[in-house]
Amino acid sequence: MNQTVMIVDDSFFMRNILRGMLEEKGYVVVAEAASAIETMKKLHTHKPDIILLDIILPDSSSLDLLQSIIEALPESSVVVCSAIGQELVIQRALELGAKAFIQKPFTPEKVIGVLESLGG
Amino acid sequence: MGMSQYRDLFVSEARGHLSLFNELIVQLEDAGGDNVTIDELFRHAHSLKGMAATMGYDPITALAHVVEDQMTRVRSGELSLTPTLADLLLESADTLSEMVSQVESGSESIKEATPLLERLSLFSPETKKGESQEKPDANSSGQQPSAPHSFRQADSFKSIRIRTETLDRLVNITGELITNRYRLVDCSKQSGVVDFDNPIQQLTGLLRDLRDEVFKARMLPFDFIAERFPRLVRDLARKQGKEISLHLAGRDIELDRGILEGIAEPLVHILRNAVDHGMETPDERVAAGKPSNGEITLTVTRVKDHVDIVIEDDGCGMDPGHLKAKAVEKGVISPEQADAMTPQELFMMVCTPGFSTAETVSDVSGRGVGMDAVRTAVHSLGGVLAIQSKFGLGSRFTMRLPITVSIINALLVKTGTFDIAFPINSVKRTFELKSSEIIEENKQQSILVEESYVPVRSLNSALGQSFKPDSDLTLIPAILCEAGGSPVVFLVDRVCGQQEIFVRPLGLPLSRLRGINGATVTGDGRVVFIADAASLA
Repeated sequence: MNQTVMIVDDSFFMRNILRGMLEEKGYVVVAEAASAIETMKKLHTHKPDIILLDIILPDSSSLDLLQSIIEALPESSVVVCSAIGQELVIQRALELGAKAFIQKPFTPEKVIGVLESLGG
Repeated sequence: MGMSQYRDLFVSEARGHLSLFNELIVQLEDAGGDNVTIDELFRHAHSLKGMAATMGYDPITALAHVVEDQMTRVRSGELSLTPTLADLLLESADTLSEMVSQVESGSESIKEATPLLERLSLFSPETKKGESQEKPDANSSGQQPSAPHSFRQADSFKSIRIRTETLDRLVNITGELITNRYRLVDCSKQSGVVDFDNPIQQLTGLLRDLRDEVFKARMLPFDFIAERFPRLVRDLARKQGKEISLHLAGRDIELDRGILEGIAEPLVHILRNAVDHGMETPDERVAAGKPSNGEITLTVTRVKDHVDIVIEDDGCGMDPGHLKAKAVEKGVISPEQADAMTPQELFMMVCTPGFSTAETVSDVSGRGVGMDAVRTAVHSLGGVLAIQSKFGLGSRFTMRLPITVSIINALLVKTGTFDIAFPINSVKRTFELKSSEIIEENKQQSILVEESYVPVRSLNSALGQSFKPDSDLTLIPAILCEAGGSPVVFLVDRVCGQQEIFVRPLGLPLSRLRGINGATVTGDGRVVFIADAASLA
């Protein structure tokens, strides 16, 4: 069965690009969120297999949100997205339980490569 | 997968980041550093960088990256936001905007901004904060709890983009429908068939709803044009070594797109004047016992069916004596006329074409188009401009504008062979007077209204028609108008009543006529000209 994904990013542009890349490869994007509150609300409704989490969000510290997601849906895989130069945050995210990370710029190969490495 | 389909999205989102970035820099400079604002700035640069990188727009990525780096240093306290650094960051935002425009225009490659890139990345402050030795650390976002923040409105499928021409056409059609309704009412009255009343009543209600909806669709918040004002004032002030902060209030008040378009440049002109001529240098201000930092406030308020825009500064104000001397010297008015003028009228003299009192014309307000263009623009929108000033204390410019431009409430009057409509905004009241009430002094006619003398004009002679005074006994209908901030009474032949009219602009050569700035067609097919009270006075 196709895996379901939720995209968390405050940029409409980024969410669209990611959605395009994922849907092309058969992933089902079940939800998008632009804020922490929206994320937590949609998380419970959609229970996605994978959550792509941009780690700079305006309305919550990203790592707090990461923790809340993992507590709420421990069986899902969280993949954090970040820019180059944010290695320390990535490190902490992985310690907190993120399964993988993707560094921007996004390319289809990179994004799909990381998601496939998670395993079904 | 192709990225080109995301280009429009990139452009609009990038623009959003850059305009907020601009605004925040100016805000930060005005209010001093607070971490929430610095975080916000960082985030805008960071988001733009990520977006550009994903699209493969390397010059944008590179410049945004350096901006982000410098914001990180500001956040860590290693750098403080000096005016020089602010200049550089604003310049970078400008360059980034240009790059985004290149993307929008579909150009193959984006021009690199290497010199700026180097200047910004090599920027080091003259005074460093001693203790701050730590490396600029990109991860601090994870440690600093950012303040609660309402997230930006994401684009949504509930709204669509629509061409402004389409909206204009909708307004035109609505206007025609309203005119047609009046025609229909006239026909039904003449035919004497009673059955029309009910459907016409319904039609009236529906037309009102349609008009409201169409106009709502054309409304934009004032911020749409005001967004760039803080930056404008800041740059001008800095260029002249002045310290000025601009306070905006009422930015979310909505106005018709056409009106916003029409007042954008006039507002810029008034702001430029305020910085250029109104505001003193910090030294002059201190010598005059004022705080060195000057203040300009731009306040938008909605009052019933119009909007007031007030630009007020605490600068040096205008000297009525100086204006008087200048006007006489330029031959605009005679010394006798000058002596009879109120300060209010003298201030309005700055709107006379070619009248400029600036001792030295700076490069900032070169004044090819001056205050006369401002007044013309306001009048052509059916608005009124008033100027108040206290010498030594500052000036205040008030624009009173209708909220929508094309359909206005007007008072219809008859004078000679003409039907004339006065926008209701400019009419204070109507009354009747006897010609014996008119006082004539120095060939100036006036009457006493509420204990002050108000000049009287015959609308007939103002429009170049002959004026025959009636006998002392007849009551002459009159309307009291507001013309450029001072009252004036127009004598007319008949006041016909109030009506909603659809304003059409006049074409050449009629548009050259003084005192008229549009026309409308009534229900029975007559052409009614729309009066510009200020230029008729």
